[in-house]
Amino acid sequence: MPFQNDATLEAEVGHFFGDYQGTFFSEPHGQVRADLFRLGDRLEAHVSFPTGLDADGVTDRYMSDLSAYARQKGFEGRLHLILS
Amino acid sequence: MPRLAVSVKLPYALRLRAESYRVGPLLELIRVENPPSLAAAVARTVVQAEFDHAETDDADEKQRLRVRDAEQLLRRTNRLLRWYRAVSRKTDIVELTRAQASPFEFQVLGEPAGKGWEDPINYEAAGPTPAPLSLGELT
Repeated sequence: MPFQNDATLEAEVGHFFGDYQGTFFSEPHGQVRADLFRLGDRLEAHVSFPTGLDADGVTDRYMSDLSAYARQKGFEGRLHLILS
Repeated sequence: MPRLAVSVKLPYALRLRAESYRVGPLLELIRVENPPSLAAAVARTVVQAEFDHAETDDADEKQRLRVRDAEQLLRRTNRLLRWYRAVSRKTDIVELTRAQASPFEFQVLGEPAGKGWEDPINYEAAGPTPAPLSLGELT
C-alpha cells in the first residue's frame, strides 16, 4: 500500500507546509518517502530517503506513482518535489 | 535526443569571464554566466552544464537522469569554487550543499522534448540548522 496517513504530521507541520494529503512509500524497497501537502493550487511532495540513499541512488519507482496520484487528485502539472 | 542545460544561481558574484571552464581530473565543462554588472548588490553568477540523454517516456528514468545531472553540476561547481577560492584568496567563497545551490533549473536545448525534462529540482536542508554559538559558549 504505497499511500498511507501519518496522523501526527498534520498537527506537527501542517500549518507550515500546507494541508496534509498523505504519505507515499515507494515499492518494492521503501527507498523513498514523500509527505504530500496541498499548498495553494499545487501539490508539494517533501521527499526523503529513509534507507540512507541519495536521490541519484534510488532504484524504486516514485515519480510515475506520484504523478499518477497528482493527476488523480486534480493536480496534473502542479506537482512539485522538494528533495531532502 | 534531448540536450539539457542545467543551471544554478550561485550566492556569489565571481569575477570570471563569461565562458566555459574545464574542471576536475576529467576536465568536465562548466559554463559561467555573469550578470551585466558585478557592482550591483545582488549580482550573482550563474553556472551551467549541458547533458545529452535519450528520449524516454518513463518518468522515473527521466527523474533519475535529471537528479544525476544536478549532482554533476554541483560537483563541477564546487570544483570551480575551490579553484576560485585558491586563486582569488577569498576565503568566504565556500562550497555549496544541494540545498544551498537549489533550485536546479533545466532547459531543453534544440529540438522540443517530452514533458518533465524542464521541471526544476529543489533540495531542502535535511535537518534543523544549528544556531550559531556565542563567543561565551565557544570558550
